[in-house]
Amino acid sequence: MSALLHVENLSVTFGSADRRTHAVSDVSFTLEAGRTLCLVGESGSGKSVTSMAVMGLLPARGATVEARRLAFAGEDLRTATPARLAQLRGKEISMIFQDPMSSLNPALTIGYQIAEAVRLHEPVSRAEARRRALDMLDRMRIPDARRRLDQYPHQMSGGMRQRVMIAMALACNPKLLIADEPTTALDVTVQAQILSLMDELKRDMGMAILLITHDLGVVAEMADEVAVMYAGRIVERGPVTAVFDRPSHGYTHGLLGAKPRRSSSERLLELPGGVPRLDRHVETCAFAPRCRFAETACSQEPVAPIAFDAGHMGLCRRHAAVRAAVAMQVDHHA
Amino acid sequence: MFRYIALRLLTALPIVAFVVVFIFLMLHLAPGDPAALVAGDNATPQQLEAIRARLHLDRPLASQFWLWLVQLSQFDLGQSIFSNQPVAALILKRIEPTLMLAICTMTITVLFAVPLGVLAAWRSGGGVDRFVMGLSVVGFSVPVFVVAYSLVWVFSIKLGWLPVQGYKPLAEGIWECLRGLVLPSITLSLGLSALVARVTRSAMLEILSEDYMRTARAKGAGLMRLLVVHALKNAGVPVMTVVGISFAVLLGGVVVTESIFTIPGIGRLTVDAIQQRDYPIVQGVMLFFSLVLIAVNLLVDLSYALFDPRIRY
Amino acid sequence: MTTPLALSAEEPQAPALPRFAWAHSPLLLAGVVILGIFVMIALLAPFLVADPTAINTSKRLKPPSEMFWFGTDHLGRDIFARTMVGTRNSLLVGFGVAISVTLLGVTIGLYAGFSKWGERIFMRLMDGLMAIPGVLLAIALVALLRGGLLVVIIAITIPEVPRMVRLVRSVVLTVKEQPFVDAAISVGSSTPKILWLHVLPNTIGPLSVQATYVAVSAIIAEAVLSFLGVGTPPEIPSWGNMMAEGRAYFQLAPWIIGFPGLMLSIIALTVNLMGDALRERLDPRLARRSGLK
Repeated sequence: MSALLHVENLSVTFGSADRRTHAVSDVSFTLEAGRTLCLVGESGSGKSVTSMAVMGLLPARGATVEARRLAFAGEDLRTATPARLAQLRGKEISMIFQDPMSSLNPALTIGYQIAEAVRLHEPVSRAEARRRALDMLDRMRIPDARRRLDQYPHQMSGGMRQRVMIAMALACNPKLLIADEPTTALDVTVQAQILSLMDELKRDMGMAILLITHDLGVVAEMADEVAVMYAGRIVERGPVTAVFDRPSHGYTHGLLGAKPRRSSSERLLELPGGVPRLDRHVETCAFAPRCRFAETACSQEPVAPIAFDAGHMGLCRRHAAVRAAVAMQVDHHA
Repeated sequence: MFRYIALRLLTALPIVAFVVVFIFLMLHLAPGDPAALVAGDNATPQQLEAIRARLHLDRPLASQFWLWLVQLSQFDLGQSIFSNQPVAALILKRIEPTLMLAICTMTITVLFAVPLGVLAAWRSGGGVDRFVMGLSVVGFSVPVFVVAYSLVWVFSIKLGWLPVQGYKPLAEGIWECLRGLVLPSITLSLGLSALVARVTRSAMLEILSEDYMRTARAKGAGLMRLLVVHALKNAGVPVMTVVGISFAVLLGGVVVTESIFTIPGIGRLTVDAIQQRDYPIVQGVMLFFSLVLIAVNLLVDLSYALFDPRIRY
Repeated sequence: MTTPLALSAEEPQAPALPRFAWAHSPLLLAGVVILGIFVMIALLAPFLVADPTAINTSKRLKPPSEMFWFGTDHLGRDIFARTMVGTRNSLLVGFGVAISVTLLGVTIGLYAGFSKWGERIFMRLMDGLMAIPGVLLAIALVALLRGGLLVVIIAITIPEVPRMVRLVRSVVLTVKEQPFVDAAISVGSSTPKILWLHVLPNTIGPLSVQATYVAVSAIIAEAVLSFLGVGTPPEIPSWGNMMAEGRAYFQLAPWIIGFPGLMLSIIALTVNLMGDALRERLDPRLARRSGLK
C-alpha cells in the first residue's frame, strides 16, 4: 500500500550561505491513511519546521527546502505550483496550531472563519457554508453553536478556540491533519477532551494525523508510530510500542527516563545540558555531548541509520548498550 | 456608547477652555496697545477709538473675557471688522471648498497610499518598499509650494490639461468642481500619502507575522484574500487614526495650497483676515478648528469598533 | 567600592549619542557634508556674490544665463545672489527654532516628568496648544507680534514645543522605572542630580533626532510664513520672500520660484535624511514605528 505522506531526506536551512541554520536534516518518514504519527522532541528540534515544510508554509525567502521525495497521495509537493499548494491546503491537508489564542483572526467572526475554509475549496453558497460551519461546531460539541457563529475569538475560552481551530481544519474532510502542539496551551482537562475528540474524528473520517508534541503522555495516548527528533534529525523512529518498550537511542532513553511519574510534579525532559546550536552541518551524533552512553567514536565518526526490527530504526552506534540498560532497569523493577 | 461619547466630550472641555482663553489672551499678551495692533500702523485716533469700542477693549480685562464668553455661548463668534459680516457665517461660506479639497485629497491618498503600504509590507525590502521609503523622505521634505508649482508648470502651463488656479463651486457642476481640485489634491496628498503608506506598512508588517496569518495560509487562502480580508482589517485602527488626523488637519490648515490655487476656503479666509488684522475672524477660525479636531478625534475613536471587535463603547 | 551609581553609569538604558557616529554611516556623513556646504554658503555668501538687493530695471525677468546663473526677478535683481544670501536666513531660523524648542522641551518635559503638579499643568497646556493648527498659530503670532527674524523664530517655536515636551516626558517616565534611578534615589541623590546624571543623558538620543525634524519643519515654516507675506520682512532676501514675489510672474519666469524652492527642498531633504540616519543608529525601535507621532 502506498503511503499518504511520503517524506524522504528532507532538509531545511534558514539564512544565507554565510550564516546558515540547519533546522531540519535528512528527515524521512511515511504516514499511511488512518494512522497517527507523533513527532517528539524538545523545542528547537525541528518538529514544527518539518510540518511547515510539508504544508509549504515556510517563507519562500529565507528558507531553503530540499528533499529527495516529498509527496502527498502520490503527488510531488516540491514541484507543485503555489496555486496547487493553496488548493491542497485546507482541503486535503489541514493544520492546527499550538496557540489557539493567536491563531484565530481577531477581526473576523468564528462563523466567517470556518465558512471561509469551506468556500475556499468548494463551490457552495454563503448560506450553505454557514450551515456547514454550524454543523462542524456541533460536531466539536460546542454548546449553543448557533450563537457562537457570530462571536469573535476574544469572546471564547482557549479550549473553545482550539475546537474552532479543529472545526476549521476539518471543515473540508482533509485526508491529513497536521497538529502542531494542539494542546500545549490548554488546561489539562481540556487537553484530554481535545485529544479524544481528535482521535474520534480520525476514526470517523479515516484521516491521518501528524501530531507534533513534546509531551510523551500525549504520544502514548495517540500515536501509532513515533519519530523522535533531536537537533533537526529523526534519531529514532518506529511503532510506538517498540520505541517505548525498547528505546534504542541515548536520547530516547533519556526522554523516557525523564517522563514524569503520575504522582510527581517533575518537569518534562530534564536532561543535562542544552540543545546544540544548528549553525553547522554535523555528521556525528549531535546528542553525544549530553549522552550517558557516549563513547569517543560517537562524537568523532558519522552515524548511519540502523534498522533494529520491523519498522523500528535509529541513529545510534551505542544502541546495544542503551537496550541493555533498559532491560536491566526492567529486570530491576521486576 | 452614548455614555462614552458624553464622557469624551466632557474630557475635551478643558482643551476647549484652554483654546478659548488662549485665543482671548493672545491679543492682550502681545506688546503694545491691542487696538493699535488690530487697526494697523496708519490708523487715526478715531479709528482706534472705534475699534476699542467694537472689541470692548475699553473695559477691564475680566469684563472683556466675560463678554466674549457670553457671546460664544450664543454661538456668536462676533463680526468681521473689515466686512461687518458675522464670523460664523463667513466660516460657513468657506467650508464647501475646504471640505471638497479635503475629501478629494483623502480619497486620492487612501486609494494610493494604502495599497502601496500593503505591498511594501508584503515584500519588505523589495522595490515597492524602497519606493515607499523614498517617497516618504521626499514627501516629508519637499515643501507644498514646490510640489504645487511643479505640478502647475507641467500639467497646466506645459500640457494645458488643467486650470492653473481657481475653484468652481459644486453648484456649477461636479466635474467642473473636481477638475479644479485635481492639482491641489495631488499636491496635498503627496506628503500625506508618505505618512499613510508608512503607517500602513508598519502596521501590516506586524500583522503579517501574526499566527492567524499562518492559519489563513494553512486554509489555502490566496494572496489577495490574505492581504485584504485577513490582514488589512486588522490594520484598520492605526490606518484610520492617521487618516482621521490628516483629515482634521486638511479641514483647518491648508493655508498655502488654498493660497496658491486661489481656493476660497478656510485657509484663505484666515490668511486674508490676518493680513487685514481682522482679529475676530482669526479667533473664530482657531476655535472652529479646535472643535473640528476634537470631533474628528472622537469619530476616529468610535470607528475603531468597526475594525476591532474587542473594542466596545 | 561598586556603588549602584557607578554601575548604572556604565549601562545607560537608551543608547546615548555615540561619538563620531557619522563615521560609520555614509548617509549621515553625506548629510553632514552637504549641511556644511550650506553653512559655508550662509556665512560667506554676502562676501562672494553680487549685491542681492541691486535693482537693474533693464535686466528684468531674464532667464538663467552665464551672467545671471539663476536668472533675474521682476526688479532685475540677481536670483543667484539672493538665493545664496537667503540661505543664511533659513539656517538661522532652522537652528534657532531647533535650539529653542529643545531647550524649552527639555525644561518643561523634565519638570512634567518628575513633578505631579508640573505634569497636571503643563501637559494640559500642551494638549491645548496641540489643538490649534501649527501654521495658523504661527501666522497669528507673527501678525500680532510683528517685527523681524526673532519674532518669526518665536512664532514657529511655540507650536513645535508640545511634541518635544511629550517626547522628553515619555523618555523620563521610562527612565524613571529603571532600577538605577531607584538605586540613585535610595543612596540619597537629589532630584536635580538624578535628572542631570541619569535622565538627561538618556534623552539625548531621541532628542537629537527630534531636533533635526524640528529644524526641517522650521525651515519650511519660515518659507511658508514669508510666502504668505507675514514672515521675514521683505527687505531681507529669504527663500519664502523670493517665492512670494515670484508668484505673480510664475508663468513668465518660473525660475524666480524654482531656484529658492529647489534649495529649500535640498536642505529639507538633507536634514531629514540625517535625522533618519541618526534615528536608525540610535534606536532601531524608533525607526520601525516611524510615521505616526
